[in-house]
Amino acid sequence: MVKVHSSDEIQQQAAIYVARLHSGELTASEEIAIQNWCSSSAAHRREFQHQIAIWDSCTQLYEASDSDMRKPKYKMAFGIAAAAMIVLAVSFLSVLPGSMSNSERPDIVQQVDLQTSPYAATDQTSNTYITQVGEVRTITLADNTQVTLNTDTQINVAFSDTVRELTLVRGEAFFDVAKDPAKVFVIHSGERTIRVIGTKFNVRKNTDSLQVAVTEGLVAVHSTSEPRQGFEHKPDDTLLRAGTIGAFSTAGQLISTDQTDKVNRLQSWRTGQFRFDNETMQTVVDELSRYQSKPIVLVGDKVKNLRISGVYSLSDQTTLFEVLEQVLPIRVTNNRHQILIEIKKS
Amino acid sequence: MKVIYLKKQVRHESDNGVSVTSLLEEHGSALRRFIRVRSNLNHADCEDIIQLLSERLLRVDNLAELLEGRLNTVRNYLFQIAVNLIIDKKRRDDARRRDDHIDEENVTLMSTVYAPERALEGKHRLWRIQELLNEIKLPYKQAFLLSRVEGKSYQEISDILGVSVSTVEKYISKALLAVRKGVDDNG
Repeated sequence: MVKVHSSDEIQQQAAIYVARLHSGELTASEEIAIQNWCSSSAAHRREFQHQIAIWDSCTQLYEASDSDMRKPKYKMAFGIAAAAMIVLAVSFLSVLPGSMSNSERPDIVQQVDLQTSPYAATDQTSNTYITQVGEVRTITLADNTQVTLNTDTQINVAFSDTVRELTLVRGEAFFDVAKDPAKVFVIHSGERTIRVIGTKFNVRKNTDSLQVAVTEGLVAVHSTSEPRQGFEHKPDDTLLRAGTIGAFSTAGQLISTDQTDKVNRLQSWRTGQFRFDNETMQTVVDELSRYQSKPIVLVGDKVKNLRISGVYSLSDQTTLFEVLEQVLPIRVTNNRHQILIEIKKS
Repeated sequence: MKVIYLKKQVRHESDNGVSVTSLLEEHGSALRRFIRVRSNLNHADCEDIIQLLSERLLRVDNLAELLEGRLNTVRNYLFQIAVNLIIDKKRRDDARRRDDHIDEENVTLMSTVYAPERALEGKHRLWRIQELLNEIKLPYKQAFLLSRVEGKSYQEISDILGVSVSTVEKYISKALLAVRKGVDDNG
């Protein structure tokens, strides 16, 4: 079969038409224009049909990437269930975040919350905020509450006239809640609900647990299956005071008080710093993995058991691994699919 | 800078479902136009597709539920069903044409022999497309994937990316063009 290479111009025109056709807003005159264009030349029609075929096959992009084990970066990125993240995470492959500055325009994706809730009838506003892997951003909500979203985090905000509601879909966020005694501030996260009036605290959602670290004020945590009205507290609510860390899972909960230092350390990510206090390499890598899409692989037990202390800045793309290479007997190899950390051969 | 989106109300015909008739009334002309341009079918075949589409919609038990979360992607949803029906129809027509020449048994044999190879070929092509998308500007890729993989409407993508609907359309056509050129290179 002779392959006919259609000109750039024809390809470009076909792409414009295909995109237009699928907008759902094609007008009668545009339809005629496309039909005329296609029937004016066999090359036009062929190009149009070719691009339609590509267009259709692209609906399978997700499946193709997800089912392939040999391409871990896709698998990892596409493994995230939430819709928009699939698109955002896969494209962000740099090692560590660039600028951590909050002064620049927030690059947080905002989208309409499409889930209609039973409360949808009231006049309500809703926003979804998403950070990409490696991104840290601060946003100000309508009530002046400041939320700093850590890497790969999604919150859905739904404020109404009577309540400030928000869902931590995944990830970690630091809340500096504006005081408003008339409207309770509620954070839903899986099986727990957090209720506050005005306070500062950090919430981190892991696969099967939730961690709440309180910097200031008082935070109430209760099971989502037992909703509360307004400010009413029940005896089985867990009240967390400043300096307290609460860890909640299906198995139960663990509260540790007088942890002010650790509470502060747990939110050091907000200033773009990693703080490690005699942590194992495994712990460090687990933490670093949250900030980038490529898997970090530790080669051998010897590497896993190395211990690290110190404060490392997130703001530079390579510093952390470079510094680790200098202070530890390790070699870091960054290839297309993964970051390998192994013991340096002397 | 605060961007607040008002929640849109979803219109219901009744509690137990959606009126397919009114759905087709609302989107019918856009659907017909879409089918005509996509498939090059004659008027009767076009109406067949519409008929099949309405039958299919009636069979969807939780249609109201399905459409409720979709707001302005309803049209995309209908388009996608129409695409599937057009492809099905083409497949049936092709099979019928083949049947004129080859008996049933041989058709089955041929498809078993060639199917895995074709599937693998398709998979390689998808990887290639994925790679190509990683090389273009991020917003182009985002817009394209939100449309193709997520089935989002241009309006929704415009909300997500914070650009106008016409810009979304431009991004998507740029992404498609890049993919098309790359796939061509690959043979």
